Amino acid sequence: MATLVLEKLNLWYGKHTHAVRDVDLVVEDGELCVFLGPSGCGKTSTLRMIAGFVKPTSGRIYLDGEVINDLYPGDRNVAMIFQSYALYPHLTVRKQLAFPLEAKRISRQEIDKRVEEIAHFLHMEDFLDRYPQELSAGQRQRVAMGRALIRKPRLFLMDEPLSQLDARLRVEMRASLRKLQQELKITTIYVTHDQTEAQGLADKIMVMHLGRVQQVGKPIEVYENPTNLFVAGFIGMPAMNFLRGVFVKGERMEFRGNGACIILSKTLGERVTLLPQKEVIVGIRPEHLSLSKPNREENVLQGEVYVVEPQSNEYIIDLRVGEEVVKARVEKRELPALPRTGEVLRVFFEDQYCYVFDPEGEKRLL
Amino acid sequence: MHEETKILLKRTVFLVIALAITVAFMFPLGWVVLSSLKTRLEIFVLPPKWIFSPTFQNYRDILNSDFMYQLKNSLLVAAISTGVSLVFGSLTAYGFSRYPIRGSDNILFWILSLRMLPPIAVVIPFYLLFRSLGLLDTAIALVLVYCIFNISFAIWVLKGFFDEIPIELEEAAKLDGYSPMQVFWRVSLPLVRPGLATTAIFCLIQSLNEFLVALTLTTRRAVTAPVGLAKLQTFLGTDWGRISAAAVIFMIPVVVFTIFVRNELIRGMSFGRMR
Repeated sequence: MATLVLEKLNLWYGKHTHAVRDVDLVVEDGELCVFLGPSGCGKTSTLRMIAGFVKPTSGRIYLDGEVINDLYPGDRNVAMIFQSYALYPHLTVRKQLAFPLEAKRISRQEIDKRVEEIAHFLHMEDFLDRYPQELSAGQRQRVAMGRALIRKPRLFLMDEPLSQLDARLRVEMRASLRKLQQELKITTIYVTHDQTEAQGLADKIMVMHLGRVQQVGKPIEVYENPTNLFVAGFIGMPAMNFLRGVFVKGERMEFRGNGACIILSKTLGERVTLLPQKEVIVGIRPEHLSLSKPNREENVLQGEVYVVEPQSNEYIIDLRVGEEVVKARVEKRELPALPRTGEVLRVFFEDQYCYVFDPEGEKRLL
Repeated sequence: MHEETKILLKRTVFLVIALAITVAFMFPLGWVVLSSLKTRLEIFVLPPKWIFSPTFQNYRDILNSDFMYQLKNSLLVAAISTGVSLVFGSLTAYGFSRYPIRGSDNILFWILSLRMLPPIAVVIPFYLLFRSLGLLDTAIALVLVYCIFNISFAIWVLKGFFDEIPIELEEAAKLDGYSPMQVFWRVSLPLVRPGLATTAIFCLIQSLNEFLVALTLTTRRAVTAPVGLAKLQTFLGTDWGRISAAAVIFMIPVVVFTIFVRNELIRGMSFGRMR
């Protein structure tokens, strides 16, 4: 129902804190866009500017082509789910749901009808006359959602709406949230620092760090094609392994750094020679490392087992490679037994899974 | 078993101490009530009489005296100054709590300092001031003076309560289409009801009890109950029975009001979390 465009958005808190820097973004109609980043990265500040709680220092916010910078929050027809849900403690669920409608001079019958509808839709009939303090976390979450949905907003803002739920409920609500959003096709901005949530929900992810947009793209894009060191390290669990070092041309192209040494495959070696610099950071995701045959030499890392974390169907193995620690995710069936500490393991990666970054600018080179 | 006796012991000790404190505080009140029901002679009998046939003569005398008019004055002045203090206090406190005001700490301290003022230091200037305004011996003069003390108190108490309200509640209401004034009225104010009750009680008691200013600024028309009470001590002697009866009547409004708002009051004093 609405397209949101952010143009060169900047926000200063006082003279010293530049919270949001030159944010540009387009969110298409009906899209769910996740703002992802560590705490303090400016994602919530950006959300609050869209809601109208803070005025951008510079830049423009367009909603359906109209600049809404100076519009009062209540005139934007934007709804928000707060991290704390922000339910009014002095109102019952029924009154809570009617509250946004009462602001609009809608007839009492119409209000009652809409409240019944939304209560039915979100299965809240049983606790309509209770106060928020008497509800469970999951019920509160639904009430918050109902209060946001009831006035059919153009834009839906969610500030970590699932962070107060326990793990099981969070996964459940994540799915129902996604389904709801797809059914209603409301343009949605969703702020979180949880990348699993982002990957599961988003049509589009905007990764932020230190107030800047790092990358905007589909969930799979930010995972497979991170534009810089930050995105590469932030997306993925466990995080990508980074090895600092240099490419050395010997008999074969090799990577050497901090005691670790990787002989590169021919194709990878050729690509590496085209790079403008030799000093780099090499990144390999733990899930892209698999056990190598003993005779394999190319793209192989060899190290001693340092720590093993058994998961349900895989091991997360910390290997000590030279002075570095490299994490590898290895499926249990690939290994005969639980690897012992000190045991030597060889793991390898495919050519396309080797990421190369510039240690200075942190941009991705390959 | 051992644990249980320990808990029992703890509870008993607690109850005994609580009882002792309650008795200590209630004793004078009980004494006044008993005295109000005794005859002039019975009041001074030693050892005091605990069982006697009560007389209502003191009450009859008081109900037919000027004291009832003075009590009406007192209640009027107290109610108006409390009401005014709540209105201005809550608005000001909300402003200080929610909007960045340059030097707000200093301003708040200045407001508080109005309350630290010893009344004796300003009572003569007040007298001169109200004389030139032609407001001597009027209820308005008392209302104005009590407001100075009560508003500063109300601002401080209520600011604490407003600070406790999570800002998101107000933001949510703004987003729902309510203007800042409506947000104040429909969200913030209902949430500080315990604070309003606490403030009202304290302002009311303060205004009802005030003696010095009332004594100085009034002569006949606007005399309040505490001053009237004092005037029952005449050069012909002090009628303790009637004074006691007057004191009991004087207590009734505060007790009634306290019972009326006691739930809010308890919540207010314990500063319960609202989230």
